[in-house]
Amino acid sequence: MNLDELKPLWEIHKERADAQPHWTEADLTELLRRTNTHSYPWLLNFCMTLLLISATGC
Amino acid sequence: MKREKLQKEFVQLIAAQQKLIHSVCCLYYSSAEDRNDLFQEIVFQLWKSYPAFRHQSKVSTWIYRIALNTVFSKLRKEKAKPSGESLSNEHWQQIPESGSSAYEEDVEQLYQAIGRLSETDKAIVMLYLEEHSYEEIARVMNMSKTNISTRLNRIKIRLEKLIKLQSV
Repeated sequence: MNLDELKPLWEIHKERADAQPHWTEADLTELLRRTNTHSYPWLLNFCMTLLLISATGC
Repeated sequence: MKREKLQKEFVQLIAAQQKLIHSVCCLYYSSAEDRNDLFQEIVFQLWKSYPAFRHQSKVSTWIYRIALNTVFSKLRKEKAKPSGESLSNEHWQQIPESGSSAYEEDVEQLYQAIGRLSETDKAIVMLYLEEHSYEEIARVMNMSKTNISTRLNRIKIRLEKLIKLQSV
């Protein structure tokens, strides 16, 4: 068997991939905004910990 | 480069190249929800690595490398969970025969056969069928060209056996 024999079938796979919901630039920007926002609670926790350590002195 | 400008450039790039990511998602996951989660995770990982991307390699090589690393890492995490729902060989075998045409059935057969390969071999077949050179495949997979060539020969034999078994 030659793997190239699978290429016509692979074209169908590509068509399926092409049929997936299209992400517009606006969708992608919103996704990045959401993922960036998710990192804020970590930052907030870190800052609060630093504040508490410096306030209590331990 | 300012972050906003970098983000705009990245978003335009991903919007134009998203078919590559969808192709990876479709190969490794059968449910729309899983594919969507994976797509988002890949975009996030690409965004994290984008500032370090120097355009020394092809954009597609960079996208495939990050996308496949994300898939492998996700599958490892899922396999570590007792109730994980990672793509397993069984998972693909359960895909209902949706094809109404003989051609569609052939594609299902292809998915099922590829689904039985290891995650790494699956990625190598995908890159081969996407007509990447051995050198590019080696770069994406972080392997030698000789290793890729040997693996492709083994994959060919294994796929042939699997497809024959399915058609019996």
